Amino acid sequence: MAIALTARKVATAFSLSWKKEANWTTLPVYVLYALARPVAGALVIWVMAAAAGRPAGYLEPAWYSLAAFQFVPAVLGGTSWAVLEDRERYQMFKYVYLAPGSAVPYLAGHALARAVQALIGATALSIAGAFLLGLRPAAFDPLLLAAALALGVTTLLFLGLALAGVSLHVARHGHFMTESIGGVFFLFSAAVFPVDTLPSWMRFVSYASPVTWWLELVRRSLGLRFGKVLEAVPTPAILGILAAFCAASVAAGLLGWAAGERKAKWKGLLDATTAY
Amino acid sequence: MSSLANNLRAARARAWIRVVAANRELSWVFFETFLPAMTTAGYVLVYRALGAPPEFESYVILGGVMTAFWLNVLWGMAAQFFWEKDMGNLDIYMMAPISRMSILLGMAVGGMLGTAIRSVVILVLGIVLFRVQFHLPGLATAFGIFLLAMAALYGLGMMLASLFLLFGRGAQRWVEVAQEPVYLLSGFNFPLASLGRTAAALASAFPLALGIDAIRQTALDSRTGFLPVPVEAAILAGLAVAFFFLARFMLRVMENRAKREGRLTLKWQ
Amino acid sequence: MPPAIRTQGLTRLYRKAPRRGVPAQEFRAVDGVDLEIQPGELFGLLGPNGAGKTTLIKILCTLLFPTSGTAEVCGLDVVKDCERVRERINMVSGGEPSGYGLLTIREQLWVFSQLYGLSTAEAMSRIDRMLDQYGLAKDAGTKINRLSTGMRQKMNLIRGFMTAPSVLFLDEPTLGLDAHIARQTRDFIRAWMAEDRTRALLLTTHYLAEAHELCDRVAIIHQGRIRACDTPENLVAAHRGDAVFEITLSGLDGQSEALRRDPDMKVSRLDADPAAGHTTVRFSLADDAALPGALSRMAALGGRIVNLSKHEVTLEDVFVKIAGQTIADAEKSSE
Repeated sequence: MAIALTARKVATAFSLSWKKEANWTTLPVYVLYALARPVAGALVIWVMAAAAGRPAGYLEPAWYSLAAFQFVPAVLGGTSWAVLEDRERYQMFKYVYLAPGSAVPYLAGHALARAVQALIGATALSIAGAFLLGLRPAAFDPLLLAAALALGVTTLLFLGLALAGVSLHVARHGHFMTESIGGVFFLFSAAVFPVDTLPSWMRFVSYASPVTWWLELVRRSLGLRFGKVLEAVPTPAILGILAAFCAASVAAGLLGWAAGERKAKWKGLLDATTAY
Repeated sequence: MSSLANNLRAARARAWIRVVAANRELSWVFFETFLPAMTTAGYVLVYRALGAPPEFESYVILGGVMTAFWLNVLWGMAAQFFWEKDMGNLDIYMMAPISRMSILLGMAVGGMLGTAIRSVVILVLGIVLFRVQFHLPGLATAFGIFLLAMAALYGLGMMLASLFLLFGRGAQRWVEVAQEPVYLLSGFNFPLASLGRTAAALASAFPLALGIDAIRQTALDSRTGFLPVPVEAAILAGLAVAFFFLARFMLRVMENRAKREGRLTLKWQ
Repeated sequence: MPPAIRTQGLTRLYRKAPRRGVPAQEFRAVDGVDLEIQPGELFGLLGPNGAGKTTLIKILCTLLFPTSGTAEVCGLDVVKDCERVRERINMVSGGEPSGYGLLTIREQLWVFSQLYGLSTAEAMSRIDRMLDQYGLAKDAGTKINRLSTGMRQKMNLIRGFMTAPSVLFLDEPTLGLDAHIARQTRDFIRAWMAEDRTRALLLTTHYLAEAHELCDRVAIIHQGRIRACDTPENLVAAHRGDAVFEITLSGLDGQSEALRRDPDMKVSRLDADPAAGHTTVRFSLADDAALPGALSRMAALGGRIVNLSKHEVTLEDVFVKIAGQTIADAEKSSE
């Protein structure tokens, strides 16, 4: 019964989020919309590399890292944006919250819908990289890629849940919060440059970020290496590290959300409006 | 004259909301100023990884500073009409005897507090951590260019805002879409000329492209400029005037169309 | 002085585009409305939800274009002279949230006063006086996102009153308010009108008793058309010959809805209480002589009289007579 309710909530939230994202236009226009941001972001890296003389060995790993990075702001932001949008714009969050069962599956459904959107962007970038720009991966290990994606998306989803707990306490400018957190991961997880480039103190922060290991695993599934620092870590060890991060993020996400919602209930913020 | 005074009063009140409410919910200082600086730092490190000359890092820092203004235009002004509609405030603004531009001006000016802090944080980061060096004799000219670019940019923002009088989510999605492509076309992270002459010429229709290029030429003494500074300044001035009148025109046209279609105050579109 | 409001043949259509085999649809929200409201009048527009009241107000407030016909406020065309119209009006919509959650009531009202060119000193003096008058002074420093429905509605009403418009539109001002605050609101409206006899106020409501109590004149609007327009007293007087009864019956056993189909009775209220086995019906007849026939038809349905009383005609009865159904039934059928 509880499982059925959870599954139904996830499915409903997925469908709702998908409609909010996509039903304002036709499918072709939506696809254009879904691709514009990742393509423009990737072209920025392309032009930067070109401006710097396109040194060998940079673009391939950077391109596919950036493709995988599409999931970070999308999934992280999927949950917290659902809280803000439902609470402030549609003023429906209180009804979601008081429905039987937890609000977590509802938020997860939103994050998964955004993950699908990110998948569209990541796939398009990968295909364009491989077939249009000649940035061929050195190998392709679909099992490893699938494992990396499953662990990575789960980790991001639960980190996003903790962020959703925080977003109950910030004003509508929390919209920027998800973008900004994405920026933190962009820097500290060395999304489009090797970890080697970071100053040594920053590298320790980088090792503490699951996204660093996730992106490295994605690169390995494509036979790509980015710098020397992570090269020494064997692939099974990276899988283990990522699995440990995943387990920790599940705990952190559930605890973070629970703490956030309890405090929000205490302060009367579950149906607050804060836009300005 | 009294109409101008009333509009300025309205703009001041709308700006005041931003300033006061921001002071009551200070988490934005962290999320909107310190964290975005991280993205800028990330792009600086891209150039380090690429082994590019140090001046490229300065380009990224200036681009990061200007990003704040672009985001303020997109989310603090243009898309804000969408929020006002859903919160039930747009009706109140629309039936008040004031220009719509005064409300948008108030939003922009009110948002300047956060934008300015964000810009300063990125500048300080650039100077302290990445050793950005400014060409002091060019700073006054750079500031003048900055003002011209802002005038044109906020005019463009008002044009975008007009879309929200008629549309809802559709306009928001296009504004979202505009964010990254504008980073690309404006050369936030690289010299505009790197786009190639044709693409750079097309991108010049967007005020930040020439604005950033001219500011780099003057404030950083960059030699990679797309056009000479006086030419870029003249084009920016032209864009500022054109966008102001276009914004007025579009606000009127979109409002009338929305009133015909019954969508001016239609929530949750 | 020109009329505060004048409309001629005012019509507003909404078109729904064709979709998946469903042809384009057209809906007349306002249909050929002719109205004239004079300065000093407190005018009520009565009708169920979906009758066209809000659409009419939106047109008069310059938020919506009419499809055809004309509308003037203070002699100014709402389409051609919309900017000058806005200097003379304000509008408050009941039950709709507005404002910025992080501001206090006093701050919020000051912000909105600035849209009408009031100096800060003048605005604050009006705001403080009205907050005091409306019993909201002690909450002036409370943030908007902490307000109850009643407090929020009071704040919204002050927003409309404080700019001293020549014509004020109140769309369902007491919607969702408890009896005490609704009464306070009506008193506040009356006091505001008494301050200046050149002001006009157009109020929409589907609470007929409220309209009867407040308004100088009322119009009954149903399905976008004005069906009657007069003072409440005249409307009631025009139907005074009608005999209005309220009867409580037992033993109907689920047959109570059949009473609505009675050829002589115009049912304005029908409350079935299955637990008690009672049904209370309020109905009007053309005259007293029709009562025995009606009672015998009730008896044929198995009804036994528990209580029977005769009443004065109210606006509710007039509405049923004119619209052919109760406000509640009209709302159901418009859904």
